[in-house]
Amino acid sequence: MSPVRSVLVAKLCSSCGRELAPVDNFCDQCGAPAHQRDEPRHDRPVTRRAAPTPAAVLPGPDRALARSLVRQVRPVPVGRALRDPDGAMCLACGADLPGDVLASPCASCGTPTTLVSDGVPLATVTVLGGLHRRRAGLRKRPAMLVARGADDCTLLLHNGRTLTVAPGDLPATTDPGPGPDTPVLRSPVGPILRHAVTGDGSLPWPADLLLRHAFDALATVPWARRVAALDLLALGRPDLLGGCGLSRTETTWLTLVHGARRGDAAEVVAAAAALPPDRYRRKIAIVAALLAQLRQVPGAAERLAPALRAFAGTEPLAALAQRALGLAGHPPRQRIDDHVTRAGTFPVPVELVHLLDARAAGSSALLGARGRLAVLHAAADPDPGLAVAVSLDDAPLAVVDDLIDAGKVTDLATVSAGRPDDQQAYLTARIAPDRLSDAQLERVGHRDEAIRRRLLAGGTDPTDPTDPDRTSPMARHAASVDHVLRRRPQDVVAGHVLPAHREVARLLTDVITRADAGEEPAALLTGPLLADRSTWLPLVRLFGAERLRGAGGELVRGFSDFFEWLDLTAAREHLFLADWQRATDAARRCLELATGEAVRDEAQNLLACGLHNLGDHHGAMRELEQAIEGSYSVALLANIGVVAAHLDPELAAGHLGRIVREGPTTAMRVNAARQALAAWRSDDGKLWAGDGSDRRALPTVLREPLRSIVVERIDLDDFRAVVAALATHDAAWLTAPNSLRASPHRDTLDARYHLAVAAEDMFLSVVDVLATIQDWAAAPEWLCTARDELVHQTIDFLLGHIDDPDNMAGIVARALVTKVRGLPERDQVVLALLAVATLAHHVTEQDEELADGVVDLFGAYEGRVAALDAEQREAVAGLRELCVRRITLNLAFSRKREIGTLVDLYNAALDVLDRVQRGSPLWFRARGQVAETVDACQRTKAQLRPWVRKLEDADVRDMVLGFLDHCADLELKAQRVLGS
Amino acid sequence: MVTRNPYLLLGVDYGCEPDAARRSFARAARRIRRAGTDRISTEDLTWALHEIQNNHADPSNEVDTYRVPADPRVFAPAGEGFFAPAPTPLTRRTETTPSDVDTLTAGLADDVDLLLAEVLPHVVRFDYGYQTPEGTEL
Repeated sequence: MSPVRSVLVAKLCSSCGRELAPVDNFCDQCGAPAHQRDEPRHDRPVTRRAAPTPAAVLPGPDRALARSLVRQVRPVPVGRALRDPDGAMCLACGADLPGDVLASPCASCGTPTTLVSDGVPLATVTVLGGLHRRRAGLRKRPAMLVARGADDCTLLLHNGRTLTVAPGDLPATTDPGPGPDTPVLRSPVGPILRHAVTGDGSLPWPADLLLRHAFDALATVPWARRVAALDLLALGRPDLLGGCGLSRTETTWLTLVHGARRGDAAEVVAAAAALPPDRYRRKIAIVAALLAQLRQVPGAAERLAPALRAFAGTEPLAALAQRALGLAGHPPRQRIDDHVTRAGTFPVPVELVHLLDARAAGSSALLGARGRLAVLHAAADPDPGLAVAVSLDDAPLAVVDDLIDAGKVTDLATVSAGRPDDQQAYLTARIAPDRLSDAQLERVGHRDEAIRRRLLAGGTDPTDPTDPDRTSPMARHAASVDHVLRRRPQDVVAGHVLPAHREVARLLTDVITRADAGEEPAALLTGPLLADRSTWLPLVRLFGAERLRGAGGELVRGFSDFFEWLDLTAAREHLFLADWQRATDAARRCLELATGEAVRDEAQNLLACGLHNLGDHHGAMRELEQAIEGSYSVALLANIGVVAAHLDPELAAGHLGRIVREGPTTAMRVNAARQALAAWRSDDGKLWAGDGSDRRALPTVLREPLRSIVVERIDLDDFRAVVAALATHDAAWLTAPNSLRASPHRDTLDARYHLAVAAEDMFLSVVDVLATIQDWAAAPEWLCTARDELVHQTIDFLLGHIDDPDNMAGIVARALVTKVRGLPERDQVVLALLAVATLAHHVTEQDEELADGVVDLFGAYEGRVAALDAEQREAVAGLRELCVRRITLNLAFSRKREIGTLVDLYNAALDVLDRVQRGSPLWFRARGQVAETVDACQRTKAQLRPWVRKLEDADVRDMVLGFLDHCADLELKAQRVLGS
Repeated sequence: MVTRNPYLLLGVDYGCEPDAARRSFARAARRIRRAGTDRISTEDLTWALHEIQNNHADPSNEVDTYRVPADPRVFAPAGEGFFAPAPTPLTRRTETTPSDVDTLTAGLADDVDLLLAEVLPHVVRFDYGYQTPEGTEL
């Protein structure tokens, strides 16, 4: 486990131990405050805490609810929980006091038990601590009355000294008295104590000085010590009790009670342990009331042990506390009994008392998960909601079995959550055996369920002959079923049938016996027999659907669902026998009775099947269209597609398009798309009724489904089929940006090819895609086919349009032969020659000269003609001749245009030469023109003579030779001019 | 011309497994023999079985063959009865021990302990035990 750094302080609930979020200060389950556990420091790595165990996160009892119940209870003195609730004790020595001597001094120590002894003149008691303002020099200073005698008073001056004055000389009092939050003090020194303890610094005397004066004054009035002690406790200063002059034990007792009042368990333990073990009986009640809190104090049990031991024999609460603190054995049952004891001795809310009798299933809302489980287990009639409020995760398996047997838990998920696989299988077998998987069934070894499943599966002998448990009730029942199905009613033993089904078994054996004796089975059917729906199929198997028809009208009315099902079954049986007419009759009978949508839909499906096979496709379509109104199955929709295909291909395409949209699986949608395309394409009549092109647009009912399916995660073959259709019939959409963005095949060769097919310059785009193939041996077959088709169609087209002036096909042919690798040699030669012939013709028609590239293409492939076999050579011989002729003509015409232009310049140059002086600039320029004419004539001869040699057409050759003679004559004349 | 339907010929539900089709072959042969019909021959059944066994596509995705039934559930009446007895829960194989009960009781005792600890300090008064002149205890 890797260490992690934490900057948040982990917290735990102080009560139930749940881990709380760092920001929570209170537990959200039990309301107890959070406390920080050994939190990680920010500056050191800590190891991540292991996940809490299930038990640690179980919800605890609802303590907030318990607290709310306390408001209904009037608190009583804790001592009333003792065996003698009215018993008194001496507070000075802790001895028990008889109730009738309560007002008397303690017989043991002689100390009175009252707060203030009788006879004290309380009415004349002077309260000390009053504040006065006495002039000292120029200023008045504060002074406090700290003693009063019969004839004088003692004032504590501002400087700490005392001054005795006559009562009549006392300055006026300025004491504002206690504030509203100050506790009521009863003793004569109460005000001095108040000033000492709660002084805010406005008085000039230190607390110690005031306390000394208070205790000195108290020594003069012993009757006031206890009252003063109470004043100190009221002021929250038990640590000052020692100054009151009480006995040590009485002081300790007061400290103990004070600690209990404040919930200070440590102080209670310390004080209780300090008291004489066998005195102060009431400490036992306090300890019993605060057991849970005292257990948290380290060493509490050992320190309290003597006191508890001393009273264990006389006070039940002492013995109880011994067990609760671990000083004696404390089995769970005893703990409940002890809780009962405490609930009986203290006035706890009645709801808590009821909890202690788990069988009564009291206010279980107060309890946590474990307590609720105990109640659920023990209660005779638990709250139905309790089962879902408990956690059974870690409950003993036997306890869960108890709950199952008692019917208190029935939900498998609740029972088996968090349990090991084997226990889950076991509990499934206990609650819902039909939900066992085969593996679980095998593991658990639930033989009856295995037999039952074989029975439901239609096994001829559901029982296993090797099974030693063939005598189990289910095995014997299965054997009885087998006898019935084998038409052997005499072998059925009534006692072997499961009790719930004996009457049906008797009726069945009776029907079989009487039918075998010749009676009609339909007349033997009865209501109780048909009420058991499991008999329907076996009855048909035993007697056939037709023999069960014809029962009495009352039975038909009472069990119309059986008879409509019977007709439905009969209709299907007739379809199986290809008896279409009787199938439609039975389906119609079913429709007369049936009201349920599912049965009616199926009846109409069977009726449509019969009509379809009888050739009434319109009738079949009507039935199916009715059946798909409302809720329907995809099967019905598919059947509409099947039937519609025999009516109108576009209608079929429309219905199949609906499957493309609504089909449950991608594969089905793809199949529907392909089927719809096939149906639509078979619509030959409409193909030529449209615009006459093979690129007619898809109908909307088909277009939208295809657009949606093409971008789904479908097989590449399916993608190709759909995208091919879209390329042909929905090119505008397909070539729009991002049409295929969502398709997983968007970057495949298939996508690129069909996008090219859809492109405006389809042929050249396709050639560009074909040109990307480096190794045709590894290319997909469909692409090879597409390439070959393009090549052959291009050749065929060019052969058919060789004299058309359009050059588009020629450009494609040239692109094919120059860009696409791996074409057959013959195809390359033919394409090249056709390209040259077409382009030469086109360029000549445009009065332009053929590009060198075209001539070079011819040159490159002319020589490869010889490499072809004889048949191919013969086939392309005509093409070669055509190319030569068209190239020669193009070149001859081009040169003619050139020479024609030069001749005019040549004649003008001759005039210049005749007129200007020899050696002048004009003279030189004219000679240059003549020389250029010579060059042109020589180039023409050099260019055309090779072609003339190849020409086979005599007329063209004569024409070209005539032109060459003209050139030679012109050249001769020009030479002469230059030589003169 | 209506396309022949191999499933109808063999008398099986549309899309049944090839094994089920094979098993139904004899039953279909008996059916047509019993019905004395000449509409279907043994050759038809053989063809149908071949078609089903050699159709490697998932029939539930096919859309070119008429489906009978469209909803197979309506042909199988649901309900427990003589031929379909209800499942029997497994007899228990555990025995509850005193330890199991103690575990439960301890859980209840723990919860009540916490509740009493919450309640008890508030339902009692911790008096010092002094009797006032008026006779009340402080």
